[in-house]
Amino acid sequence: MKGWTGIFCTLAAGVLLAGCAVYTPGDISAVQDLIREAEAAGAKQRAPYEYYSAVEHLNVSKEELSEADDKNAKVFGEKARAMAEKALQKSR
Amino acid sequence: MKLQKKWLLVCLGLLLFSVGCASTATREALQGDYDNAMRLFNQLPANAKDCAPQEYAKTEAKLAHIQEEIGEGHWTYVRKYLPEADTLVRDTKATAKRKCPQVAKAAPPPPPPPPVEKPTFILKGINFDFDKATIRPSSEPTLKEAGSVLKRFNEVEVKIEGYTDTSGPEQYNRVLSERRAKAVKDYLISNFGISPDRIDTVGYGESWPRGDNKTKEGRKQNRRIEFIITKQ
Repeated sequence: MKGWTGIFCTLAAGVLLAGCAVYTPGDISAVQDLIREAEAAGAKQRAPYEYYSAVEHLNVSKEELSEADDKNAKVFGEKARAMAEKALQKSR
Repeated sequence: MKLQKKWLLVCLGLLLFSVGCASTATREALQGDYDNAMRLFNQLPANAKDCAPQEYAKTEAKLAHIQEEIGEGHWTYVRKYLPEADTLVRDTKATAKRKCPQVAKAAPPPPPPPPVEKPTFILKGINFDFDKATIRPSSEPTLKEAGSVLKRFNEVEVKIEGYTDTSGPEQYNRVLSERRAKAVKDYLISNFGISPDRIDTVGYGESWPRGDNKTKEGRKQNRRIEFIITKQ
């Protein structure tokens, strides 16, 4: 019984770790929220380049995710996040 | 009848050969179009980012997207996105000129081409035989091309990503994919004297397949390494 518990835990951990490698609609939503936050802080006026760069990179990320290209979705999603954070920082 | 069959095979062979040539020519043409779009983007007035931030950001993201697609050999998408990129570059230029006419007029003429050669290239990946991490003689020309590029552009750094198909245990495949990446790194070091510090390797095993693992052709595509340019 103990052996089975071990196997189950290892499998569960494997599944969880594998989950870390993919990019999900949840990740997209998180970046989307950050962009909204930046917009609310006035990023469109105070950091327009950073703001629009975040928006456009997120659009590409969404497109890649819709084509099941997790790798590129992540690359562009992370770029979008970085730009959104920069826009937010410049707007505060 | 036998003779007819022979000619039919010859014609078929010639047809396949010509299709291959056209495909390579198309890729080169698309790469050329992308380079042109990049050149136009880089020649935008210095104030374009501030005067037309929305258009500038959109163009930049589109060009980055195309670059990724080129890197992955998705030429259909490259063909689809290039006209959009071209239009976006022109729109950015026009908007910047409209919004900041005085600065645009005052902008100095474009500088002469820099003496240092700007690296524009694609490093193509290679494929491996089943359960092997040895470089096929047929892959050597591709690696020689990569080696020459790395030798020519001293500042370029790359990551070699190894992959496998789904045959065999996952852990074994991860190790096999690392061995494939390492084999290519060793080849570049020993044949071209590239510094090991400039080449990083990683094995992703069965992850991110290129082809369908249910088919022989798909599995063949998945037994591969890819070059990722990490510093240019």
